[in-house]
Amino acid sequence: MAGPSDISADELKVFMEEATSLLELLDEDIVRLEQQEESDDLLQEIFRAAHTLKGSSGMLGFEAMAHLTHAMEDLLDRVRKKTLAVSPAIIDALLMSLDGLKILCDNISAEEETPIDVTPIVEALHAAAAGGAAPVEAAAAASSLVTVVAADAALVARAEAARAEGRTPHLVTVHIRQESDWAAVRCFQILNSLDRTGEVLVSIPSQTEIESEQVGHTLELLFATASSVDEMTGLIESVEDVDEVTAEVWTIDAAAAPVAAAAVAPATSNVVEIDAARKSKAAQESLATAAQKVEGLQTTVRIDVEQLDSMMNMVGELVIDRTRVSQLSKLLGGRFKDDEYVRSLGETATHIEKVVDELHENMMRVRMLPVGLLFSKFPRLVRDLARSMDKNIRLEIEGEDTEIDRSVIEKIKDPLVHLIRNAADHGIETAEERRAAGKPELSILKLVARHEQGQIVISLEDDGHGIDAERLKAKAVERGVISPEKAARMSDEEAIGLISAPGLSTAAKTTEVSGRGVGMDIVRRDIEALKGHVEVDTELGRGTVFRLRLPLTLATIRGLLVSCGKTTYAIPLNYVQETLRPDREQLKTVSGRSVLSLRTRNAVMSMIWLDESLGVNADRSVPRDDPYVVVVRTGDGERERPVAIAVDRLIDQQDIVVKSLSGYLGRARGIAGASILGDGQVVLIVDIASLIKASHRASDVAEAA
Amino acid sequence: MADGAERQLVVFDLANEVYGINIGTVREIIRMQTVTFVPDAPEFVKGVINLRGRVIPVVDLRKRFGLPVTEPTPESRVLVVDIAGNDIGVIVDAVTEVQRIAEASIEPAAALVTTEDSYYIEGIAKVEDRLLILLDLDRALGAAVRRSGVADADPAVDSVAA
Repeated sequence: MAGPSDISADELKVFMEEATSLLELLDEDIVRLEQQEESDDLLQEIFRAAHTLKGSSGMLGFEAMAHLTHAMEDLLDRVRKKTLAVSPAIIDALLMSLDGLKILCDNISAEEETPIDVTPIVEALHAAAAGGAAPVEAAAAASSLVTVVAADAALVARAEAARAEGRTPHLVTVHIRQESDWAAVRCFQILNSLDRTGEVLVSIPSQTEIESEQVGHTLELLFATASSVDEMTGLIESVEDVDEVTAEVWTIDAAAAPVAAAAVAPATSNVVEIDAARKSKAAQESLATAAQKVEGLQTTVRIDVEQLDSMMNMVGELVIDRTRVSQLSKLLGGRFKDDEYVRSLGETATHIEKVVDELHENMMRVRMLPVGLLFSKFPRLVRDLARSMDKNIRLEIEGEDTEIDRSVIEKIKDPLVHLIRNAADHGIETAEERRAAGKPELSILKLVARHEQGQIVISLEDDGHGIDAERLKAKAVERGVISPEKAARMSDEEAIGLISAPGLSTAAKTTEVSGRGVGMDIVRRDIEALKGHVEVDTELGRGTVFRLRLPLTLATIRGLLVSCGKTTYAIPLNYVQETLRPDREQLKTVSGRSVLSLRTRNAVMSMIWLDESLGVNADRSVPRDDPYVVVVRTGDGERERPVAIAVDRLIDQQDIVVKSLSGYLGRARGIAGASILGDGQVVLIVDIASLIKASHRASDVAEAA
Repeated sequence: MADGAERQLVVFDLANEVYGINIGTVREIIRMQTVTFVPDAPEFVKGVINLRGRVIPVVDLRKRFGLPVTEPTPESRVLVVDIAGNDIGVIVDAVTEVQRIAEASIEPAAALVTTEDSYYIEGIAKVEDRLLILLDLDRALGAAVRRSGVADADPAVDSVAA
């Protein structure tokens, strides 16, 4: 067997991809198994996944993983064959093994030399497999070979013939150690060694089953031999991993004989029928799998994310060039409008424009993945949380087909996990509390994804007790986050905003689950890093909804183009509340700082010049008393307030492709990236959050002075 | 020409001096482009340009060397070079030629008087009747960035990477 060190990088990659998708499948399926009635298809799928994983990990020499999956497979095999009913203990053991497998996978990809010890998990699996159902199975097993033999007239005849020749038929039962990974090999060895001293008339599992590794840890034989029982058991016990051997001389039972004889004809045909039915079902299944594979091959292709990104970049370049080409062709058309070639160039340019636009759109779509890929991990999470907290929670998922940019999917996982934990831990009451409040004990956690006006909205709604604004304020005062005076002035809505202030947690006790009051601020920060927003709606006693509003993609954003002096900037449109052209009397200076005063709305907001606050030498050649103003909103916890950004000109709104700036440029404070416009001009994308933060800091300094 | 190793240099003018850099580090030579100023960048970085759909920083070599900064002329060129994995544009007064010189004709910098700021001079080559300053651009630009402590990419910038 090849050791892990002999594996090529490619093999490892294929294995990891397969393992990851199988583990995801198992994760979902096992939770489903617990929730629903066990269906044969589901069980079959689970068994097959474990079996495949066992095969490939064994082949590559990941022994701990093979060992663990083997034990899973044993357990699942019994469940599948209905000798064992699904119980919480079984589900727990299976889920525990999955966690173990995930760690092993992580170890493999991190090239960790010492994998975890899987023995306790394997023992748990064996215990689950043994739990309650074992005697039933043992009884069934004990009788099964006898029944098979009795039902098979030909076999009875052969056994009797052997006896006549002086070779006594024995019923032999061999138990192989549970912890052995090599049950199939051991069975094979046993059959092999027995072959030399006699004839194996029949075995369960059969020779073919053994060769295809469809074995448990028990081998039953009808063995005809001239040797003594002791010799025979000695021979078997010399094979490694053999735990226990029992042997008895087989006789066709006096009582069973007439039954067997009478039943020979129908029973045989019965067996054949069952067998045929099983085989045809197996064949159908393998056909279906094969068909699925063929279909899969035809319709989907795996593609490296890096390759996709580089294609996206090239398409981005094409988009810019196509604009340039059509501009040039228009210019040429104006100058030489009678020239045949110029006209033909114009037509070609128009066609290129159309094709490139379509290509661009398709490319964007290729980057999209259904959000269900992420959501599928959550039923398990909720189940574990509920179990550990002794709550009864059902996660309902809607809109899992909603497509979202893959880079966004990666980045919303942690925030969502956090929100779910928070909801399970703090949001949803304990069973007693719910009963006392007259609510159903089962609480519903609803996770919904949908498109809304060019954005993705993901909401998580619980039916728990809601957020208590007063308690939140009291907590914030206690922790010194806000002053008591400020708390008194705060509206409930503002107070709810405090949950994302650093260092606040309203749970009466901190639990393992939701940590110690760090979190909501991180969720907000993560979502804002994605150019998104977090909204909270809560009603005391009724529950809370967290809404994450996210852009469809990070690759392009809708930008408002503005200019200061000779430079054009892009302001991400999702920050823009409104644009306006203030009258001169609306522009004021209060203690040395510019403010925009909107008397009609009774609003005063601080105003900053875009170029000045970016530290660009303001171009004083343009008069500065007649600016346009872009009002932006910034999410900064309880400091959320609109800020007016003064610019010389508003140009246009357009979709722009976001390009990162080279690390060579240093921090570039206030700049989120760059983009290239149709005419090839590079514009900088303003990072509103950091720009405003810097100006707050400056104004705080001014206040302090 | 002496037998033995040779190297190929891209030769350019900067403030009346002639410089050479290894051709291997030069990706391409383009005409002067419109430069977009980037706030808060190292002082000698003039801004960013559009290199066929990519946004790359450009460095004003005159500024880097403390020479008087001039307006670009039709002769001005941007050398796109690879500095520690980053493509960076370097503005020079003019690119004159690509030249082969013998290693033997290079006087190593160690033998010359060097100051802290001129250690990016690899050596001086005497070619026919003129002196050619061999630049180690990686030192001139890479080290400058490292010294000003901004060599590491800002995570905030990465977070919006397409």
